Amino acid sequence: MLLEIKNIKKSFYQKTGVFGENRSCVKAVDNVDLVINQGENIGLVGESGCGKTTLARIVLRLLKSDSGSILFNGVDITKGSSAKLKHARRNMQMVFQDPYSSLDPRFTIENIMEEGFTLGKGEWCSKSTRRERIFETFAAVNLNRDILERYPHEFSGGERQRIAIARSLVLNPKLLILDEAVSSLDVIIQKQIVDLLADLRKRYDLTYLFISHNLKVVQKICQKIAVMYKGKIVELASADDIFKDPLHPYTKELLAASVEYRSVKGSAKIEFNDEMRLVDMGRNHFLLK
Amino acid sequence: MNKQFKSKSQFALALSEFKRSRRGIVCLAILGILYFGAIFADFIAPYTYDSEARDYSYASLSKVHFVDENGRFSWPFVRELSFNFDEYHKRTYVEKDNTKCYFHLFNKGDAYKLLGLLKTDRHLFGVDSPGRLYIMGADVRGRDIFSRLIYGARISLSIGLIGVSISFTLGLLIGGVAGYYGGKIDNIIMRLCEMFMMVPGFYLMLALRSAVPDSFNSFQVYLAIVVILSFIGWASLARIIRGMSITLREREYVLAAKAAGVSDLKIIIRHILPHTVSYSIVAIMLSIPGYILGEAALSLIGLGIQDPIASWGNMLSDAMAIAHIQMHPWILMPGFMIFLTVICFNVVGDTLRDCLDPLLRGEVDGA
Ligand SMILES: Nc1ncnc2c1ncn2[C@@H]1O[C@H](COP(=O)(O)OP(=O)(O)OP(=O)(O)O)[C@@H](O)[C@H]1O
Ligand SMILES: [Mg+2]
Repeated sequence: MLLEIKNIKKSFYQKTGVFGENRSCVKAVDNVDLVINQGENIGLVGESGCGKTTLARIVLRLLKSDSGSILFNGVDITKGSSAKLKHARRNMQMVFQDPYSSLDPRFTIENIMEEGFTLGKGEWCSKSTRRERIFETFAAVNLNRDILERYPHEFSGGERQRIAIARSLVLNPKLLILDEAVSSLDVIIQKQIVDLLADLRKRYDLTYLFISHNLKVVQKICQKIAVMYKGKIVELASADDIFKDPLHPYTKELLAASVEYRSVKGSAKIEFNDEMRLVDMGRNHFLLK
Repeated sequence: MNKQFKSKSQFALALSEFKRSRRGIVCLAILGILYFGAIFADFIAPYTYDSEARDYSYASLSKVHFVDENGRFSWPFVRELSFNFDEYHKRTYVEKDNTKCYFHLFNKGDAYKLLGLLKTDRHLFGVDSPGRLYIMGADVRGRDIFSRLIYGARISLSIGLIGVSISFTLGLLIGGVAGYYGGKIDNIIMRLCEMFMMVPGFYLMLALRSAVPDSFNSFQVYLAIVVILSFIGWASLARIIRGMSITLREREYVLAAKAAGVSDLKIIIRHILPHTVSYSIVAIMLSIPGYILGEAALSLIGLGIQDPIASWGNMLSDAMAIAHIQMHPWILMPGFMIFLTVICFNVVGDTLRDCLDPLLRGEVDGA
């Protein structure tokens, strides 16, 4: 087990009304359990606002969860020393949703890449070895070597996303969380990046947690798919099963909408209560019941 | 992309815009001249700030002669003065005949150390003693106002810069920390800022000044004033920077840096504060006049820099009596210098704002 997410909960409170007298609560992530095994890519799908990004940020401890724990390689990183967290972050990197905001516009590409080495300064202590490594990752993501002096605003969205991927790869992480890494790109670039990810995975022995609302892309990359709805994982199964034999009404709706551009009735009535748990329906096909 | 294309940060692009504004450039040049004068004050000023000549009290601008008594052109010279009293017991000066004090470039005068290093007694210009050259008149003790203005610029102009750098370092860091961490830290810091902002600046200044011991020498008083002034300035800046860093900390590059393991302080310094720089530069330019005026106000009422050290504020305290202004209008010169400097800083700040504006908007609302 590479990563184990246990009972993660996160709510956001918002004050509304003129004097902030009403506090409304959004359960962005509600009691999520998920296990990621080495080499087994998991796709996390769901509509906008269902809590995918929030979950990803909690996994990297960019956000604190309200409760629950995250085990990386069996070590709980939600408690205890920051050394544990540093170790986990070395091996766990994230590519962010928006390539236009994930690269600091005041930094040159070189500074951006150098920052990726922060936790690995011990190993990559000389500038020339770091440079070497940067070029290696550039080659892996099909970027030219001569871009080091340039600024992010000089690149297209696809190039930026490749820079972001290169940055996350410099320290050779084991787990890469891709938060809608291709959603903001046009279909041709999308395909290039998806092919690139498939290739990188083989080369560097990576495991992906691939977040998307685009099921087709997820199908290409992932072995397993988790469907998220309103902060809960409602169905978890192998990619084939999800596509051939969706059980949860929300999954059906999502499939109908994204693959066939059709809407199904019924999802409006989906309701949760706290006793619902993921139940194995056979062949490792889990459903929230 | 071809090689000739030189990568420029957006900031550099915005600054090149500045060169197109004539007003901005002129004011920047004036400021440049003033600061240059302040740095080389000992050399440029014909006299030192405390070189007195009681016989020349309130002497008016020296009359420079180019024609001698025989009606021939001669090397410029001034004459010594003697005085009588008129019916109001006011001195009237008359030139003594047969005295000629020639004008010289690189004249020998009071000794000083140039830039604190080079011992010399040469001044840019001056006249032979015992004559005295007053190009802007003399004050009550016969000290040259022009020289004192240049020496005063050292204090008045540097107080702005030092004060601003202290209060901006404080304001940026404190605001950055408050905005980045949010929550309780933010709450405490912001309430503290409000406490400072609540008290009217001038009274706070007076209160702080009264806490400074009398035994301080003039340099210590100077430092105390700088600290007092910057103490008043940081709070409002911290509030604005805090607001900006609340938006900036949500940027994905901040999260990316955090995920890469960069420490919080480093993130604030490298990823958050630089994005407030276009705002800060404008704010710095527009707030320097406040420090200059603050020092002037303190010195004017006698709580700031003490005579004989010159500052524009304490030179102006001479001009508090209307009768003096009427009889010796040149003692208003320091007021004019303050006015000029303040205007220049404001125009430069305004011009900077105009050319940084697109960047400013981009940085605060996204993109
Ligand atoms: N900082 C925050 N403060 C308040 N509410 C938040 C915050 N971040 C997220 N939320 C809320 O939590 C919910 C989940 O947001 P999240 O960004 O995780 O969705 P998402 O699944 O990533 O959506 P998308 O596909 O659009 O990226 C949303 O309802 C959002 O409004
Ligand atoms: Mg998201």
